[in-house]
Amino acid sequence: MTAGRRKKVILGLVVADLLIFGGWIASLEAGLRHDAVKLPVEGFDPRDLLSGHYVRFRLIAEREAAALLPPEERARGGRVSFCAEAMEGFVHPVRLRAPGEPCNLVLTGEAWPDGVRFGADRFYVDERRARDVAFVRAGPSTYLVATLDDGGSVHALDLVVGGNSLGRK
Amino acid sequence: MKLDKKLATWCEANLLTAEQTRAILAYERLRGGSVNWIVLALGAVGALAVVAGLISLIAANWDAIPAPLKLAAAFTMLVGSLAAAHRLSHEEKTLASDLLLAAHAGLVLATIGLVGQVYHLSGAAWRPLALAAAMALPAAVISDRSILSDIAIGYALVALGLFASESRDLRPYLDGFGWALFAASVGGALLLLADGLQRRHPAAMRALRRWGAALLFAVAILAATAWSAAWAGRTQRPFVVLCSILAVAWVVRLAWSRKGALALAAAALSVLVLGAAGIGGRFPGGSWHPLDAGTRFLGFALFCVAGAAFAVAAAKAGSRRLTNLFTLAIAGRIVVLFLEVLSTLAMTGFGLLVTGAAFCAVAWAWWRLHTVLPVNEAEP
Repeated sequence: MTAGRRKKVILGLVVADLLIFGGWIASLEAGLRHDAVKLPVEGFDPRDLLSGHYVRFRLIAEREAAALLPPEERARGGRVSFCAEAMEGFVHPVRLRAPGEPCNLVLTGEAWPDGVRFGADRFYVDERRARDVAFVRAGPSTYLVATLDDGGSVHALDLVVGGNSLGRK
Repeated sequence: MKLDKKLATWCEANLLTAEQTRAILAYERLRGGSVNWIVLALGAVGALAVVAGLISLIAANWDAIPAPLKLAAAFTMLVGSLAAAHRLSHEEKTLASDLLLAAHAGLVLATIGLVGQVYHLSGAAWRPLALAAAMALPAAVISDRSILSDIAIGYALVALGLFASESRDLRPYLDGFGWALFAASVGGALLLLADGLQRRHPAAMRALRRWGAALLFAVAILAATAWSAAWAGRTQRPFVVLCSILAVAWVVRLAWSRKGALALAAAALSVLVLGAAGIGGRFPGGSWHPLDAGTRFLGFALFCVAGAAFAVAAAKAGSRRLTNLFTLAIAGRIVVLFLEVLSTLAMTGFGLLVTGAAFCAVAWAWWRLHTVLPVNEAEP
C-alpha cells in the first residue's frame, strides 16, 4: 500500500466517522424534538453489564400491540405500526395502522412470534443511584417518558419508577 | 542454564574463543542489571495505577459530565486518533500509525456504546459490532500488519455469532451440534479466503488463518467431547450439508495440491466433526451419559489421526510451534481418555500403564519427526 493511498483511506475514515456518528446523533436529536408522552411499563430488572448500570423493563404497549396483531402476522415478522391514543395520561396502541392511515400518535415496532417490540426496553441510570434503584418496586406509577417521532419510533427521555424519576438531573 | 554456563559450554565446543566469552560476559554484566528491571516494573505499576485511577474518577462522576461533553470528547478522540495516524503515515512511521488505527477501531465501538447509553437505545447486539467491523475494514486493508485484520475479523465473527443467535431464521438450525458446525463452516471459509488473499494481502491472510485455525481447533475439542458423552440435541440438516461441502472442498483442494498429510488431517477432522453431529441424534430425549467404548475409542482415534497428520504437516512446513501444539493436543486427549476409563483401582493401574506407554510413544514420534523432517524455528 502506497503512502499516498494510505493517507487517502485515513481521510476517508475521518469523513465516515463524521457522517456516520454525526448523522446518527442528529437523527436521534431530531427524534427527541417532539412532544413527550407517557408509556406505562411492567417488569423491572436492574442490570450492570459491560454497558453500565441500566434498568430493563417492558412497555405495556408491547403486550397490547401483540393482542392487536393476528398470530400469522406476528409469525411473518417485519415492521408494524399502530395508531395510539392517550388514555388517562398514558399512551396505548388502539388498532393496527393501515398503510397511509392518519393517526394522532403512531407506535412503530417489529413483530416477533412472541410479541411486538418497540425498541425501548432499557434505561441507563447514574451509577451513584444504582444501589437505590435495585430496591425499587415497580407499580402503577411506573412509566417511560418518551417522544414518538413521525415514523412512530420511541425515544426515551426519562423513566419514572414508583413516582421517582431516574433521569439525569 | 545460566549464560556463563552456556558460554563455557560453547567455548569448550570451540564455537567461541575465550576472549569472545569474556567480552560477552562483560557486556551482559554492564547492560543487564536487576536495578533496570525493578525501575521498569515500578514505573509500569505507577503508570498503570495513575491511568486506572483517572478512569475510576471519570467513571465515578460519569453522570455528572454533560452528555454533549461526553459525545464531543468521543468525537475528538475518534478524529484525533485518525489525524495522528495520518500524520505518522506522512512521516512513514507505520507502526505507530497502525497502533493508532487499532485504537480507533476500539474507539468506534466505545462511541457506539456511548451513543446508546446517552440516548437509552435498545436493539440487536450484533449491529454495533457489524458497524465496528465495517469501519475497521479500511484500516485492515491499508495496513501491512495483521493486528488490524485481527480486529476487523474479531468484530465480524462476534457480530455473526450474535446475529445467528438472534435471527429467527437461523436460530432453529443451531440446535444440537449446529453451533459447532456453523463455527467449523466459518473457520473453513476463513481458511479458503486466506488462501485467496495469500499474494494480495499477506497480513490479512495471516489473520484469517489464525482465526480460521482457532475456530476449527475449538470445534475439534468440542467434537472430541461429543464422541465421549451422549447428548440429546438433534442437528438440523442445512449446516451438516454446508459443513460437508466445505470439508469435501478442502480435502480435494489439499489432495490436488499434493499436501497428503494435510488432506488426511482435514478428512479425519471432517469425520470427527460431522460424526459428532450424528451422534447427538442417536439419543433423542436422553440425558448426558457416557457412550459405549467402541464409539469413544473411534472418536479418540479420529482425534489422534487428525492431530498426528496436522503435526506432520506442520513439521513439513517447518513450524516447530505448531508441531508442538498438535503433539500436546494428542497428549491432552490421551490424558482425557485415561480419565474417561478411570473407575476401579485395576483400571487406574491399567490406564496409567497405557497412558505412560502412549506418552513415551508420542515423545518418540515427536523426536523422530524433529530429526527427520525440516522442523525449524524460522516460521511460527
